[in-house]
Amino acid sequence: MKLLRAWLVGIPAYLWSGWGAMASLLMLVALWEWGSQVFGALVLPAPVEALRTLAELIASGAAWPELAATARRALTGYAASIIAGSVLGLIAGLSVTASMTSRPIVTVLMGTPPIAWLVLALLWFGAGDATPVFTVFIACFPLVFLGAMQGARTLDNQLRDMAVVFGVPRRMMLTDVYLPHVISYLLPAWTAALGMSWKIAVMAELLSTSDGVGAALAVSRSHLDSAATMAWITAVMTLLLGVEYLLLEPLKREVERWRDQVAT
Amino acid sequence: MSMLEVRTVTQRYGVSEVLRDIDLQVRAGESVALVGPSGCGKTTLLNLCAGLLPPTTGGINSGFERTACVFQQPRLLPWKSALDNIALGLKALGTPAGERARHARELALRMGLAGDDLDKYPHQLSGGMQSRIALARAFAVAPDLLLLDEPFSALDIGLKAELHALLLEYATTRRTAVLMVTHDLMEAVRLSQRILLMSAPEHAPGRIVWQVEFDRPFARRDDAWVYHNTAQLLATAQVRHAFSLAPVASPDTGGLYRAA
Amino acid sequence: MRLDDARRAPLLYCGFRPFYLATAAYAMVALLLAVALPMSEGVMGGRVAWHVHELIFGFALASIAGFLLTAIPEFTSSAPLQGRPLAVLFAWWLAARLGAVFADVTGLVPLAIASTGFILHLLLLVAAPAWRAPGRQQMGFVYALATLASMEAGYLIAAWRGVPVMPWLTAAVGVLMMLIVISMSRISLRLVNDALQARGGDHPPYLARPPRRNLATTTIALYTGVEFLLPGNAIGGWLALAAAAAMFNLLNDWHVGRSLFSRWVLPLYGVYCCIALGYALLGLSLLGGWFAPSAGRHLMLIGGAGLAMLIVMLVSGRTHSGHALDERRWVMVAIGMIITAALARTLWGLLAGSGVVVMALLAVALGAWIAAFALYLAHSWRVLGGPRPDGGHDCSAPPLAVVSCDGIREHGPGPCGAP
Repeated sequence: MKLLRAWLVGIPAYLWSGWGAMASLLMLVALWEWGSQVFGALVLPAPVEALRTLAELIASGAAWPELAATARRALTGYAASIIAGSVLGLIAGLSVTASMTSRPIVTVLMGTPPIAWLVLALLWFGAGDATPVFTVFIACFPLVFLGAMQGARTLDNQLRDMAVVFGVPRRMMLTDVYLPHVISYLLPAWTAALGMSWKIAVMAELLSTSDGVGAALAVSRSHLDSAATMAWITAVMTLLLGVEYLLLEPLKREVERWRDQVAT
Repeated sequence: MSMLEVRTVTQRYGVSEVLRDIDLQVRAGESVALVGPSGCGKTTLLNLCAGLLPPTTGGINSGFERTACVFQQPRLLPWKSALDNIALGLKALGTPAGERARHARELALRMGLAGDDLDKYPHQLSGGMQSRIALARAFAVAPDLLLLDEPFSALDIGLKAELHALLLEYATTRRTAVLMVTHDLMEAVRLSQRILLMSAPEHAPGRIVWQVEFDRPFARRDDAWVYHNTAQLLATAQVRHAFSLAPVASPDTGGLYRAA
Repeated sequence: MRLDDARRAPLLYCGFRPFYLATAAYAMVALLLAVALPMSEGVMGGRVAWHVHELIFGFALASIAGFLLTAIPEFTSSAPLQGRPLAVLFAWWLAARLGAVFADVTGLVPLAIASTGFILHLLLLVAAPAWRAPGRQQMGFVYALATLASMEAGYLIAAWRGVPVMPWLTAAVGVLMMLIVISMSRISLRLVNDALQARGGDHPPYLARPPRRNLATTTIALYTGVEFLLPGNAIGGWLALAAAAAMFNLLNDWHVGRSLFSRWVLPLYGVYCCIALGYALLGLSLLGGWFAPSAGRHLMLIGGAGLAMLIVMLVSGRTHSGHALDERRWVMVAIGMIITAALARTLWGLLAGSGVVVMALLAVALGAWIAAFALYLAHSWRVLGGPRPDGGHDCSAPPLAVVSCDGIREHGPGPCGAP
């Protein structure tokens, strides 16, 4: 409750701090504009052009179903990967044997290119939702797993001993001693996995489905419609930025307030 | 009767023996110091008393109702405010939130912590403040046995004296038994009624080799008295031997002597 | 103390005294002349160019000179410029203004000599102590001033060759904005923390942190550069929006609770807001073409530069002549007038027509601007031209908190509080 209130009070200041990010993004857009002037609109359409196309896509109602489809696949795979990755990673982290055994396997999973998983998924599941969801899951899973394992491995025995001496009960041990530590490892992993899930979902859709942003990109590529391409990219980026900066980042700040109160 | 009793405890880690045949009692309200060189097994013995380790052989019986511990490092939970850290033991006991916050705040203010420091996180506080919080956390649960593992060793002398005073005041008014580990002889002379000397020569297991008692009430132990008795201790052959100091040509005071 | 100290005119005790007087007077004169002075298209690049040139290199540079001649000696613990050398520097400035007013008669040469002479002389006076000071922390002012000098040189050459002069003048606007951002951070450090202390309580001190300031000056510099090289280009539009966002980002440091709404803090906040909104309007104008860029430009120049200069003159003009801050009501009226002028002129630029209402806006803007500086002059000429109340002959300022001790609640260690 206290957490929630602190979070709500912090929202205006947090949103205002977004101006800095806005300034750097606008400089990126200026660079984009320069690129489009140098290489021509066919190669790189002007930002205004892309925004106009995007506005048209949204106005015509064409954008939302595609974005919703991509979001559905990305978030399903993401949710599965953070649940499975966190639980299995924590369990593995609590046992030295399990973490020793799982590390090489996770390294192999991490090293496998997502496109390879996509090909396998196409063979296994064919065209449809299952292919992008699986690809997202398998690409994000090792990331979360490693974070969770690291969190469990680095639990502080001194703090545990202290809590034992003070007779801290099992449940409180979990909520007051273990979880805050583990969360600080889990959240960065979750954030990284979120960004990854969108990229992988769009990539998987390009080859495996007939709807979603990836499929729309495939269509605009075949029409050589670079304005639509940039419009879709802008849309996905905006959604990703929104989810990350409005949802995950404030959560992370609030949960990790104890680390460093001096905001920069 | 509440008492901590360690009976012929021997402790092994793997093949190496760290403690052998330790016998020790701490009675209610009594203050006992375990002194000895680094690596003689003092901390292991304290961990055994705290119940963090089961002894390999022998038995440990604690008749005390509530034990609290102050460690060498403050061991505060970094994600909890100073106030919540002090109240940790109370929370573990199931004290309602409002009451434990009030109690912790009261205690903290009595111990010289400022009101606005209590909302800060440990990393925002100085080492001295952190030690104070660790001490307050132990006091908060109103223990009848206090285990101290060199909690003051990293503090400057002024801070050390201040926390000594806080500890003495708390322990004497509440008749709390204290078992402290220290390698600071002066601290032991100032704070305890009985000093047990531990020694572990040449990687042999640690054992209690000698003890001395001080009858003088804490209130009458002024600096001159503390210096004098510390100097006497340092002139004792057993102490010099345990700390690997070169022997001095002074008469052996015998196995046990009583200071005035 | 030297012998001639006592005989020196109070006006020449310190650099800000003649220059702040001149700033306020020329704020009114330059604007009226820009409207009324008969002038040919040729010599200085036309009426609009004359107006811009004189408000930047006449009005604004006079207040910058006054500020730097006071602040740099204070920041670097060096001796301030006083007496005859100060009179010489001021004569350069005055000659340059005369050169501008009579340019149609005399040609460009007198203006060129006097104006470059003034800027280079000022640059030298500021650069020497800034360079010698350990850490060289004040060199940012020197670089900005040097850039401003090269803009003036560029302008003069362009006017002499008869090619467009406006790129040089708009670039000078960018440099001016950077100078304001740098100077305001120093001034705000003091004013905001005094406001915080006055309110009491346990609040972390306000810090004008360099990273955000550097982002703001970088984006403004980028925009200014692109605007100069590629006037009217959309790249500049995006960079102007980036500069607006970076200026808003700067305000993160300023959200210090209720102290923000105190007398000397809120107007400074307004300066940043006007610059930010000005760049936002510039960006939108370049990207969408819905209105002329002059709307945004005037918002940052009147509400940003004009207001900043008024506040600086109100604060350092009084404290460095040994007076307490002016807590009377006219100060708020004058500040309100500047903001009115900024809004009216900006609105006029956005509406861009010639109806009665629209022309009334322009009259309001002109009147409010002149009223603000007339108020300042009426209440300050005695302070700037008269002796110090403490009988001294120097530039020193009492610590601000001591000055306004009466209103300050006893709180914590500090000049007013019991330790």
